[in-house]
Amino acid sequence: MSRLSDGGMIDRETTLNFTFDGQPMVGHPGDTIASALLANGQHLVARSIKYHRPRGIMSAGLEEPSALVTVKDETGSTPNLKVTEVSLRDGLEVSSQNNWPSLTHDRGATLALGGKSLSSGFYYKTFKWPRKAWQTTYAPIIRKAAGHGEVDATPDTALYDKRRKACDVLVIGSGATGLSAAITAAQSGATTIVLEQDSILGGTLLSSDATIAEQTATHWAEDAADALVSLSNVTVMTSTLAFGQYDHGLVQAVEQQTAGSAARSILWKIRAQKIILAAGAIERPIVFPGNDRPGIMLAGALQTYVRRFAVVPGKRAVVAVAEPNARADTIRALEHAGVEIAACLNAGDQILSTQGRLRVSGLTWRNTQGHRQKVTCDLVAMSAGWMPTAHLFAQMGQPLEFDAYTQSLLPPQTDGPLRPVGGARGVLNLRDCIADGKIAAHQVLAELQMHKHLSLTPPASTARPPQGFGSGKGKAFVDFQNDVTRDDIALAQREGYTDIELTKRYTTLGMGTDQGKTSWTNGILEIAALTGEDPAKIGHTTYRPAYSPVSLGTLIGTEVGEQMLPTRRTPFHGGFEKLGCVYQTSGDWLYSRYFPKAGETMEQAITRECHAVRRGLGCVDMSTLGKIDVKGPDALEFLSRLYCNNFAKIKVGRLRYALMLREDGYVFDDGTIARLSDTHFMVTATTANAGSVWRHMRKSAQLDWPELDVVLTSVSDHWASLAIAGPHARNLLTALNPDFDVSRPGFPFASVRAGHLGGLPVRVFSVSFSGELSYEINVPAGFADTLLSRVIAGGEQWDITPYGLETLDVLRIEKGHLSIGTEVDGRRTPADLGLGGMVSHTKDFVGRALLQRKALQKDNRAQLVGLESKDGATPIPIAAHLSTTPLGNGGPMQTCGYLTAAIHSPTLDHPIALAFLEDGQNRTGEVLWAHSPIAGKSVQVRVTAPCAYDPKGERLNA
Amino acid sequence: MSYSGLSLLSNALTGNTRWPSIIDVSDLQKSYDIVIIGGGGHGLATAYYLAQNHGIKNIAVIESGWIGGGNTARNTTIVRSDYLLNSSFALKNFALGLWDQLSQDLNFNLMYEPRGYVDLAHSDGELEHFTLRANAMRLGGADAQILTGDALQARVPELDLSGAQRFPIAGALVQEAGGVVRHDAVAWGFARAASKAGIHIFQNCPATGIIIQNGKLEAIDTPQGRIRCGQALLSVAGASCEVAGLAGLDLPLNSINVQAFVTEPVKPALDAVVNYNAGLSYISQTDKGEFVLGGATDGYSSFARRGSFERIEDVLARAAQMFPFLPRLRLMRHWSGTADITMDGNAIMGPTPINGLMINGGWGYAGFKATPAVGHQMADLLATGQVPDLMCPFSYDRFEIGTEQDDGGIGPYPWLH
Repeated sequence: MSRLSDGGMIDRETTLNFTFDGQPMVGHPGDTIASALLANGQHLVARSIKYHRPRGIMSAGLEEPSALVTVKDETGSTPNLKVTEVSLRDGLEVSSQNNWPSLTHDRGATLALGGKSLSSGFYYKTFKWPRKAWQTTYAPIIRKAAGHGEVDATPDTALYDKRRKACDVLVIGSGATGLSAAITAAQSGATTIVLEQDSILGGTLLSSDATIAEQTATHWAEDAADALVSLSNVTVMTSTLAFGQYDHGLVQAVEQQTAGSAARSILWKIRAQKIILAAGAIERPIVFPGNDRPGIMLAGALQTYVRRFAVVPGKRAVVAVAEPNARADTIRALEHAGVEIAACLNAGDQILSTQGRLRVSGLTWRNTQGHRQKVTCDLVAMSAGWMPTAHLFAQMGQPLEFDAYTQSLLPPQTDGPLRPVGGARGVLNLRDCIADGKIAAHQVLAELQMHKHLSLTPPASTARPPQGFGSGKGKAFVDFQNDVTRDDIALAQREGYTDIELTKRYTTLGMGTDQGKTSWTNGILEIAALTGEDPAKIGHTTYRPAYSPVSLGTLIGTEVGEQMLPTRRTPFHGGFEKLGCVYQTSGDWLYSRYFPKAGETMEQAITRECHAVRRGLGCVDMSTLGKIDVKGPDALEFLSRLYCNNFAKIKVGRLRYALMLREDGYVFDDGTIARLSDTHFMVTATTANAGSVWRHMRKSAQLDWPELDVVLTSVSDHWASLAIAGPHARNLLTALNPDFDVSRPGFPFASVRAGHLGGLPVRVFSVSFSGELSYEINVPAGFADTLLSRVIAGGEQWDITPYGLETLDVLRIEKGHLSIGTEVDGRRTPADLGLGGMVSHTKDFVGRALLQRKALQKDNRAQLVGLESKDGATPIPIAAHLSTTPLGNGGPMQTCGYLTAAIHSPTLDHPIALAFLEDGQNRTGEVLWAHSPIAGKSVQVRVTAPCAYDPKGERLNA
Repeated sequence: MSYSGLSLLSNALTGNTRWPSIIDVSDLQKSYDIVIIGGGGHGLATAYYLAQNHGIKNIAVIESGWIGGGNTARNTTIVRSDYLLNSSFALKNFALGLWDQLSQDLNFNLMYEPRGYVDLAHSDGELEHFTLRANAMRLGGADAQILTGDALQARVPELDLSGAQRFPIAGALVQEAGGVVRHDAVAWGFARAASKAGIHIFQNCPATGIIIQNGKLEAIDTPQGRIRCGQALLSVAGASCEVAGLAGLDLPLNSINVQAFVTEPVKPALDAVVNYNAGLSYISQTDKGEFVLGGATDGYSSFARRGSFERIEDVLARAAQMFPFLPRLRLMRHWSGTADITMDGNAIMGPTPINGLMINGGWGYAGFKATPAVGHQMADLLATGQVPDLMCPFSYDRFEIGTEQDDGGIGPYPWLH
């Protein structure tokens, strides 16, 4: 074990067992997988994506570019986890990725021999011949080589949750800056939330040996954390990663599973008036040849592993830290762990190479006097400076600016809701950070008028020397995760991919699961060094959420499986279920589809249901229709403007079929308008357009014609609607004991009556979609069961047959009635649908102006027609296209229309269809071909009128 | 220098120091025959085909940012031609034919991978409508199949067809020639070939003015100076209404936010491109291993290139209906672009009321797949002055005369397309 005998924030009393590539290992509560691996002496943990170079653990945080592993627990396995981001749990199975047959002997490493021919973008330059070879041969190989881990293909059954919070001040990060800001905000009484992605508060204080107010930094952090937790106006959330800032002060964060919660993670949507971004800074690696070997680590990370996790990271170290204080701090930490300092490089030294196969074993450099020097070592502590973690700031689109003084990308001054503070704006000194957090909190409290304005001057950002070390030639990695070297960046410049965005896309610099956290600033400095350009002019690519990857499960939450969206059921659902209904999902609805009897196929059931309606009596659920109550002195005028047909003379107690156009003149929806009183109408919309017609009406009432005195109420859900249809419909209506006249003259077709049926309050509409005598009985939804049972009982003597969507469709096709989505497809004028005569010439209405357009008047437009098979028997294939010629030999062929519906008519006992046909209304009797290559069928058909059954509508008044 | 396996090897031996720039640096001339505003895929393809097919090379392509940095950079790289309307089908199917040979023509690997495009239907009625579309494709000379049950399961083994979903899957339209193309490479390949032909390409060079006299185009203003030209093509995708505004044109379109996002890269786990239709959600896996997903627009006008997170949650929920393992993956990055969506959801291509000024815009979030066809046809128009057949249905004046090309039948509501 490579663990110090005391110190650190681990619980040595408890041992956690885990495995790495099958090898048993142990750790303690408080460990991350990274610290546990290091404590077990395991530096080699990964192979790089392109060259399969051995890689170790470089960092101690979310910026980790290299050490990606697959972690398996009782719920399955998760790929691409950074060893630094996962708290150790008992029983974890940790596996390395992207190697074969093993991590130590990875055949893929031979690829590295391809060396310079695998330069950036090599795949754009080759794999082009033979012509299909990319898709058949090369791409599959490249794809297998790419990607990191393997996804567990079994369904994810874990629970995820989503919750919301709001606060005055949200503090992101709990290092010195964040704690200082949070305490200041909390003491003023502001509701304060502190988010910390780590499992405990403290940030880099936990790996610092500094003293604050005569306390160790760790104790100061613990005291501050205790104080915060004890305040009732503060919520402290650990293991919670703020991954994105969104408009209007919204921050989204993911809380990892905590004890006592059934959810694996929770997505928090936190709306804050002010946000203090105290996320600290990320250390920059040094770009030098062989800078990627296991054992070469960021200096700050080494301090963390030694001080927080009591890990002994190696025996002999080379320290390459640019900044003197940080260098001294690193040496103190290493010496505390008993690590021998083999060498300590000075600014200006040129690093030439490193040695070692699976772990660094030596480092060669040339000192400022020009002497070449070499030491053996098993550890290199490197630091080129720090990069502010201002990602959440930059995500909103305002760019960071390169600052020569700090040699980093800094957020500009801002008065937006989010304020980068401390390390996130380049303040690195501990005391300055504490001051900066406090001052930032005072400032936002004053802006919230919870505090008076204090004229406090925030501390300046901390100066850093330019990158302090030179570099020799060789494979010097800038982006470790994507194996992007200095030479790759140079190649991109040479080949004209000079814009920073093009450099990124050509080399893949800054892509990947770490999104360039350790590589961006170095990349910009490399480009500047190569081209001589001012780094401030190079800019940076767009910062986008997520700051660090978040599981899709968390973002989906509980909306999985059948619970993805609410399922709407009509008030008759339960009643129909008892009648043996088969349901089908239709948009939001579960809709009754058909009612099979024992042993019946769907086709047999449909035929039986159709015959029942045509010959006897059927009933069908119409509750999904949109129902809109229109009231007011201007109700008639309002509807007259919305619908294209004339119904100004509609009498109370009557209803009209009505056609609604879109503003561009095409048919939008059809329905009925029933006049209940002089100023009161009930309007229906189709099921498909129930929502959109309602929106259209409201928009018209509120925005277009606010002068009209009309009140709209959506009553779709208030009324249950059951249609009884068939020659016996009036008999049944009579049997239901109405308190109004239902005789033919007393209640003619296209009328409405309000009254009672055996005491049930109803509105009955004499309308018909089936073409048979029919009444739509509307009752308040709560009476649906009663109505249904009375209809079924009362209709028994006429063998009443419940029917569903399928039969409804067959009946309407026989009648040539329109269906939304098929005939009314958003591209048809009333004339196209044979309804040109309905359009009023005497009034204005929505769509009138654009309906006059030239191309909409042409007589060769596709028009709705009926079809029957030429021989009267051959089935017409569904979804066929019409042509005047037989099917050709596969080449493009001329068509003149297509089918919208095709059935074998149960009533007529021969195949019929509806179709759009160019100039169709003038082609009745013509014989055409209906081709369906999908069905492998071509059938000769004869053009007819759309209505195949009872064209004069005599049955409606039976 | 020609790109090949051999040139890769020989350049490796010289340390990759001899690769030339894909774009030659040129000085902005005072005049060109043609100025193409917009260095995205469409504009660069137009430049390439003008040189390749018509020998016209006195052309400047001016790009306000970096080449391919607009909607060419911000799409889900899907190519397909599964349209019912013949106008839409014909143009995109022509593009599919071009995609198939472009890597060789351009000497640049665009990584066209016809992995198959799978469009899911959620009811028998919807499947009937898909069959109508598949028949149209077949009769138009393209491949298309309707798959259900076991055949669909065999085609996309990862797909959940158990039916234990909110919107069970009834079947699918499958176009095997559909797939993906590496989007950045399209801009780079066309730019390199155009530059090689002698066409001048200028980055960071926005059009700041369109000079018109007596209804005729005279010149384009840029920060680097005025460029006189006989003709200009406006091909600026999300910026269409702004740039057309420089010419006083008020385009019948809205600029709408549309988002896409990727997961972390993993080893291959999905081959096909799959589209969910009960609330739009489309998904494919890139060569790098990321799952890339998109959905409908955000439904509101915006140039923010930053969208509403609700759309992401919505698209992901649908994606997980198809592939129940997806929740295990992690979202790496999400972004947003500006889609220029017209009153019928289809593109506007051809002459404008200003003599000499052509437009190619209104592609919304559907333009990537058509890139080479648009370039090819636009080059024909600019070279001959004749509107080519495939372009005719997409005329600027179609909204006025009533010949909309509304594939979805959605109408003049750009936010719903």
